[in-house]
Amino acid sequence: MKIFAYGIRDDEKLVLEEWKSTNPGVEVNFTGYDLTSDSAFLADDADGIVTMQNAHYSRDALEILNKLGIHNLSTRTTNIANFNFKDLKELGFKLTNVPDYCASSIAEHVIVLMGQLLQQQPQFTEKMHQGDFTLSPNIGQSFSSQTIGVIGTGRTGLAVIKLLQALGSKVIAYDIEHNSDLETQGLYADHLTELYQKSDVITLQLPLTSNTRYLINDSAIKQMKPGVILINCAHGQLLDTDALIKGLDSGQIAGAGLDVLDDETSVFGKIWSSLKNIPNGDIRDLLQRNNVVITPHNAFYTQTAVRKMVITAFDSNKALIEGKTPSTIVDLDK
Amino acid sequence: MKIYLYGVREDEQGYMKEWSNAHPDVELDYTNQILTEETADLAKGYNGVVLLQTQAYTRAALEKLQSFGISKISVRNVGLDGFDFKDLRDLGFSLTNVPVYSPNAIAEHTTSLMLRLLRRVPEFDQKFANTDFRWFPTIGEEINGKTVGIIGTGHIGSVVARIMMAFGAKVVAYDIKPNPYLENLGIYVDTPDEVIEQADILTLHTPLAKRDVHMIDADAFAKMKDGVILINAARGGLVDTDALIAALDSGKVGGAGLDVLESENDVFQKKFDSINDVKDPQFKALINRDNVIITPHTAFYTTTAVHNMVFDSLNDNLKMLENKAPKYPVDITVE
Repeated sequence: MKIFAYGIRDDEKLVLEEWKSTNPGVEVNFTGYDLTSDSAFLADDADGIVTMQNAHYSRDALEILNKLGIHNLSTRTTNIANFNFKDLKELGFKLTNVPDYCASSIAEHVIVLMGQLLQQQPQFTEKMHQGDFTLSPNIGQSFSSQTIGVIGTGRTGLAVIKLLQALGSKVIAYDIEHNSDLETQGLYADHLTELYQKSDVITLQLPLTSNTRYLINDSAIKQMKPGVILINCAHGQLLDTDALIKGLDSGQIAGAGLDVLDDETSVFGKIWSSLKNIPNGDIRDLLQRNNVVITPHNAFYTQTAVRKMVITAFDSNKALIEGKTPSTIVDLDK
Repeated sequence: MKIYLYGVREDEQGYMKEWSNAHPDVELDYTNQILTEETADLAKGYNGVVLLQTQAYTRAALEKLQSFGISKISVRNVGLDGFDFKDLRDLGFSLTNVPVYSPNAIAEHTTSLMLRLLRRVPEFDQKFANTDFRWFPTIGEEINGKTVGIIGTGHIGSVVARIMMAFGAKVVAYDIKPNPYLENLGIYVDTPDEVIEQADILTLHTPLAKRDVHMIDADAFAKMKDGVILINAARGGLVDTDALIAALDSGKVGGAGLDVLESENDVFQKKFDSINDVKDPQFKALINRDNVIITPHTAFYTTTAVHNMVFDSLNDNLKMLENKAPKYPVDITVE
């Protein structure tokens, strides 16, 4: 049995070696390149493909795999939006993903961002680098004194709520579908308005759909408590950046922790010679504020998560090759 | 009744006013200076003093207070290592402290220091400063799945234990006197060495008793796991800083989060013209490392804690002045 893997990064290689040692009957080869029509030939005599990339999977590349007789595809991430299901079905592919690799990783990152803002860490770091070791006026807020609104109570939202409750925060949640545990605890607000009005901090843990795109806009921000802190580790387009900047300027928003940004691909993943060269003016603006903490979409990026992504994808691909149906199979008819 | 407060910061004044409005018959005045032999004169004519400082309370200053007829001292914090109890006894003082003002604040800061080190926040800050927005290869780690060692499980350590368990860590703890509320969790081991040997992340939450000075020394570091993360938001003197610096240099210690330092009184709470003017050699050896996060004794510094520190200390000082039993008397008969 042979598996060929695309887009393998250095930090994945150790885990890959670990998987190989527990699966001695499988020959694994890999490349650091994405799967494209140019690189598809590298898979040559493989039985299955393990992949992960931000770029779209082109029909050309899939057709080459089809000609090579390869029809088992496993992505190492949750995201399957860059596959065209119609292409996959027409060419007879089976696809698996990793439905849950990083709830704890993202939840902990949410706490990192909230903690930095509640404790005014960026201000303290800046003061310290100027030789100023005094406390006043940068007094912090304790998690235990905060009411924290969590919008979206799927896997990640639930993980965030568990951590917040351990930290002593009062949690108020909102979702269209209710989780029965949270329901029993009486955590759900009936309307987003109620959550906006009661929360000192609001974190977004919901998927991006046509209904949720720019959910947090001017009118949502107006309903929030003055001095609210906003956290977004979900999708950049849940938040209207212009409305955020306006809220920060007026003081309505006291701080923002952002692991994702609208139009982030124009900035993240790159090195710029100077802040001035950053093509997106809103992002440039946010980067210069000390009450905004930005991380480059690395909330998911931990050893634990990467290990789970690699192991689950290779296990799933092996199962597909053996003619089994792993639990990670993606329903291409949806 | 007249109470004088020393070492008052701007952020305490609102809470003092609030307390004052509730006690119109008590006269309050204050200074932002700490209590020294020179500043002791400011308290002349007052009945009680309320203090907060990290510097030692000198015998000379206390003698002056005594000569003004002042015998009631309340501190707005927990730590009493600035007092020589013998001086207090000799001069006939009564003392109260605020033993618990916000265990959550310190526990949260401890958690935050761990997370910032695990997520390599200083390296990302450095990358951003160089306008480098790549996440690769700066891979982070999670508390989830790690073994967290806690030495000291009093008010603060027990909150840390609870938070760490919710994060999915395995907790191993040591205390001379195990906390009965935690014993059924099965987290206690019999010796501090067992905690030191097992921990991926080690955090200290004990007071600075004389026997615990340099509890974490070169021998202790030698017993730790390679790459261990050390958090100290308790007392600077618990860690032998030179041994820590050596352990960071050798790579034995993978990261350190320090809210307190042995020599912090030469640095913290001060305002230098530039960070280069800080001359303390230990501070200089630590500050420019991307696996060390120093916060200038800010762990306690939340609105909840400051409110409780001001209110509890003033309430107790007034109680003593009215010859009533204070809520948090300090036993100064012990050494």
